[in-house]
Amino acid sequence: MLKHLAGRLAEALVALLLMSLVIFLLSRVIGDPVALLLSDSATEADRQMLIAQLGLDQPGWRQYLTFLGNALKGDFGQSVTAGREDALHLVLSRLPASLSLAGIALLFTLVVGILLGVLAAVTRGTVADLAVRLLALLGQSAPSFWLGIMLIYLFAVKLGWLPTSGFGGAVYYVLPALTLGLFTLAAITRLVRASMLEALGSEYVKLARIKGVSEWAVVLRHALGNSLIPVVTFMGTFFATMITGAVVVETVFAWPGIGRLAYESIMARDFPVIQTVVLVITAFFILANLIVDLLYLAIDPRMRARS
Amino acid sequence: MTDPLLSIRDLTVRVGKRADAPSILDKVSLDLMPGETLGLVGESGSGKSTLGMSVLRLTSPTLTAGTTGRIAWKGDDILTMPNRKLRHIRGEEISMILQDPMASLNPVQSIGTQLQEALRRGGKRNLSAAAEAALSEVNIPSPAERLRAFPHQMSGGMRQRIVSAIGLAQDPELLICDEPTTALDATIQYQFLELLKALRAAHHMAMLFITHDFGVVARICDRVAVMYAGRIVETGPVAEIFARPAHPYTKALLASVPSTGHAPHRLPVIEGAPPAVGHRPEGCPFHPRCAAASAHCRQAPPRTELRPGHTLNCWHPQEHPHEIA
Ligand SMILES: Nc1ncnc2c1ncn2[C@@H]1O[C@H](COP(=O)(O)OP(=O)(O)OP(=O)(O)O)[C@@H](O)[C@H]1O
Ligand code: SF4
Ligand SMILES: [Mg+2]
Repeated sequence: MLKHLAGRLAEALVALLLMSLVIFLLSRVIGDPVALLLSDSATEADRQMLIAQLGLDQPGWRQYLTFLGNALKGDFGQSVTAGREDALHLVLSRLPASLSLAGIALLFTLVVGILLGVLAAVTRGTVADLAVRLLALLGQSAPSFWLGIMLIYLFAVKLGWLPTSGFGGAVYYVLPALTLGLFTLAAITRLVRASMLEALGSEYVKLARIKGVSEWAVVLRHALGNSLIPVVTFMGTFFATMITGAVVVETVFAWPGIGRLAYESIMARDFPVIQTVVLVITAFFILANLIVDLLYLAIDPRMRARS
Repeated sequence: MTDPLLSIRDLTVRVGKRADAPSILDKVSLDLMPGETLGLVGESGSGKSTLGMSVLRLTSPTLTAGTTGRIAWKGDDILTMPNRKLRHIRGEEISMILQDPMASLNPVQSIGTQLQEALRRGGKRNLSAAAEAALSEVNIPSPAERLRAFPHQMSGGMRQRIVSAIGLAQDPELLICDEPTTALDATIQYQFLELLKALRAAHHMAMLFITHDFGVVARICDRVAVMYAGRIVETGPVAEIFARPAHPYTKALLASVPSTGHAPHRLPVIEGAPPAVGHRPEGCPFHPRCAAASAHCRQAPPRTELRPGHTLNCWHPQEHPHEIA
């Protein structure tokens, strides 16, 4: 078990390293940092001086090592925008807003998705089942920016119940969390419904019924545990969906998180910040997958045996 | 005469509610006396498992919706009784060992959890001691250790015995065994059959024993019912059926049993294949494959009683004694 975890950690480090290389290469290919940093009135001499200062006259591998060494020290360079803020500092300051939004969206998504999936499965073929399936289908086909705008229009503009955008107390979370979570919510609902139906038709559920166990216990004690295994499997994908969704949702709702920071820094061609955002997101993604691994071990004894 | 423990009348199971939906079971009737073991024999697809599961209302929702007839347990109809009452019959009075022992245990729960769930419903107090005793009864070595294990850590024979222990945990009066030996290899099959006989005696149980193997029938059953295409075509005491099978299908099945008494796994006994659900012919469903068939056989044959306790559905009973072909 410990060996398994150590293995996963090593994999994670390799993944991070690879990601840093990709980021490094991309930033060299996409933009010319010198052109970005120089003012229009700069002379050729200024230009050469800046190249030397940034180390761009060095061979590529040298530049990468420098980049890596700086990154390890927490130095990702400075934002090229007027404030010249430290890139890592900037990204980290935006992190809490994103994490709290994603955390709430994920929690809400899991709880409601599992409930709806179970409900649909146990009422299979009835109106309740049909309604849940229809909602799930809509949730998976609606683009999140459109959904966000519709929700703002209905609840904020028309009804005036919730703020249109911005960051603040609990009420500010409702619409962005809904928008961010709805696709995943629909996906989890469908997944749980399908795997619950499979479990409810299984032989071990029949054996539970043979024992005379109540229908509640059959559903909660026997079918549910097994049908959560595929949810855990897809958890990594759900995280990815949320991260990409965060860029759109935070932009639509003017949410001061790293999703919007990513959007802004791309618009401003602010490479140091883009690089940092991508690396931080990658680190979180890897961490999330490690957590999924642990969840797997907790829920499925067959995995415990294998590792 | 005592009343039957289980009395099934005209049990018909269709795939769905509609009256013209294809049927898996067609007007099945049988009686089971207290303490008696009735064998249910037939080729794959004849509806044996569906019959066994119907007794505990375990068939899928489509099939339960299409179930008609009467399954009387000590006089009460299982098909119409409220769920709450049924729950107390399940496990406590009627229990079942399912056909697939590998899939019958919950993969994410320990053996102990699954066994104790049954024991608790059976009113046992000291659950861990009772669980160890239950595993010892089915000859599982070092039971305390096994209770902490998970299903995937055990062999097929071991799982089969654990499933049996769960089935017996509430001391039922009837145990339905659905091909309990098919998944096991030959020597373990024999051991397991002997174990079941010992358990039957210790718990004073009646048994409904589903198998496609006449060798197994000879070892453990008192009476046998032969099924073909969703119908019971012949019933009688085991000795009588072995000595004087009267239905052409029973005769053909018996003729194909090798003298070792062990039928191979899924033996193609008779020329042709049994008709699939939805494609069963009118009249006697066996007529396309039957050597004795006549024009009569396009009408459904009535049930007749040849001798006391020996009934069959056939226009042309084969009265002469069975000869090994
Ligand atoms: N839920 C269902 N819907 C439709 N058809 C079904 C359903 N359950 C069973 N059947 C069909 O009913 C027939 C009888 O099935 P059953 O499992 O009772 O046969 P069996 O005699 O137990 O066969 P085996 O020896 O292979 O176990 C089969 O043809 C099967 O395909
Ligand atoms: S009724 Fe006719 S077809 Fe059917 S088993 Fe008897 S002889 Fe054969
Ligand atoms: Mg079967």
